[in-house]
Amino acid sequence: MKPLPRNPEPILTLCTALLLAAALYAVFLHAPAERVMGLVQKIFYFHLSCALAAFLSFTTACAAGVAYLVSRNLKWDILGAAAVEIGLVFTTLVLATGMLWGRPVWNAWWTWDPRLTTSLILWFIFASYFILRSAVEQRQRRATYCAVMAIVGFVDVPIVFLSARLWRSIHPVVIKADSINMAPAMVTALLASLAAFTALWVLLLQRRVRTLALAERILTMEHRLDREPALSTERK
Amino acid sequence: MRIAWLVIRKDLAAELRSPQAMVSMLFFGFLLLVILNVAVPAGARVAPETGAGILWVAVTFAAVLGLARTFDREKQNRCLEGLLLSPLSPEALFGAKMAVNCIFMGISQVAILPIFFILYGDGFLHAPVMLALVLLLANTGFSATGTLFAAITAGANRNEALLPMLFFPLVMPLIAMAVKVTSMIFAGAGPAEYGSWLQVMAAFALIFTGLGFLFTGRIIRD
Amino acid sequence: MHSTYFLLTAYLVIWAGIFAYLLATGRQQRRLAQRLEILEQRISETEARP
Repeated sequence: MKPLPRNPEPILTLCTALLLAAALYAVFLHAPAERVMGLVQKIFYFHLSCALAAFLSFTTACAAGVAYLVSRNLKWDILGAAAVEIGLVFTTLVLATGMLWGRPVWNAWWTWDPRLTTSLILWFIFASYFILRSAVEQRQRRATYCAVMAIVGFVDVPIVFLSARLWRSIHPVVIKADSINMAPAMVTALLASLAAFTALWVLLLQRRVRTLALAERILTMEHRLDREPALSTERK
Repeated sequence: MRIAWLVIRKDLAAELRSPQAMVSMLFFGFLLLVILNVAVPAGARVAPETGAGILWVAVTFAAVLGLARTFDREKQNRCLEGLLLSPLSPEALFGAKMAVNCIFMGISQVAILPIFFILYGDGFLHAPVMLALVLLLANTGFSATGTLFAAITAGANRNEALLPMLFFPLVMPLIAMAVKVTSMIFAGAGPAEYGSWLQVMAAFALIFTGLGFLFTGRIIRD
Repeated sequence: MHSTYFLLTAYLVIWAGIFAYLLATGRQQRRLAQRLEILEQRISETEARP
């Protein structure tokens, strides 16, 4: 068995913390308040950053699924599981912050806008990934099933978006979440928070991959130890 | 191709001898149509959207019952291993199972639809051919996705409860589109108004059939 | 003023969410460390036996 790679966590953690602090400064002190929506608009920066992290996660999961089916190397399965897990956390945050923005701005917690619908169904698809994961015992089989699930889920997302948009194009709703003219300082704040959340995402992902890989190794060692005494008694 | 046909015939013959899947699908479908009646205020005319929603809840939930049984017979006597040893390719098996599921859904809908029109009013009966086309597209999409996930849940532990949980999030767009088109048909709209929806439904069916053929080999062999 | 509460809640939710996740993963890591310790003990026992 190969040794685990050197832990890059301290440097990464430091970078993430600095970037997050910078992003918070940019969002709250540097960027001006939006004229129409007021301070609430500041939710937008971290909301979009969470969405970016979620998107990165699910793309990674799909790529890891393909890589697993091609190579049958369990490390890709671990990467996929870690990515979906983090993606689920960030999708939850996206939905929560989206609702908290929608309530004061649109006067409703929830609308069936294509973006909202898509993120909700995305959340369901990848939550069912974990239900599937817990339902299959055998290791290789679980990896194959989960890889298929991640790929199929990822392919499904554009269709969900398309169908939700078709729906709205017939009942037009004038909600355009992203057609906001942004001042330069707002762009800076947005870029800072996007960078911070990408760093946070990398940090979480490598941490989860290491933990899951460790869990895997411990499990195989336990199995081997459980079998060994039996073997030695047979030999006697 | 010929062997796939044999599998289809085998499944249909078994179903004819003891129609377990068919009975549960039809019974559950009727039951849902009756239960969903509570969504309609007493004496009021059903709006086209409500009617379409009720019809599709009954149709999809009945379909899931059939899908869950896709690989039941193969699992019972370790027939799946036998089928894999035969010259039958997993892709052909997938195609055959998908066709069988599609046929079962079609038959159950032929029985569910008249009941629906009886219970909720025949004022909805506008363009039967287009309605059949919508059902056909939806059935193809359902049976492609459903057969793929039935293969997956056949290898998992708690497979009865698992299939709907994996299946519904993925086919949500297909159900939404089907309900939309059906409500337009019920309201008397012409094909020009919902043509683009039918295209997206067809695309969904095509994509998931492709994915099914692509992945079944891996799923069944593991 | 009312909308400021929503802003505060949103940021609170983000931080709470991330920290809850970190806490959960931290707990899993601690459990793993325990299992690792038991494993090391068992290995040293089996090596000492023959």
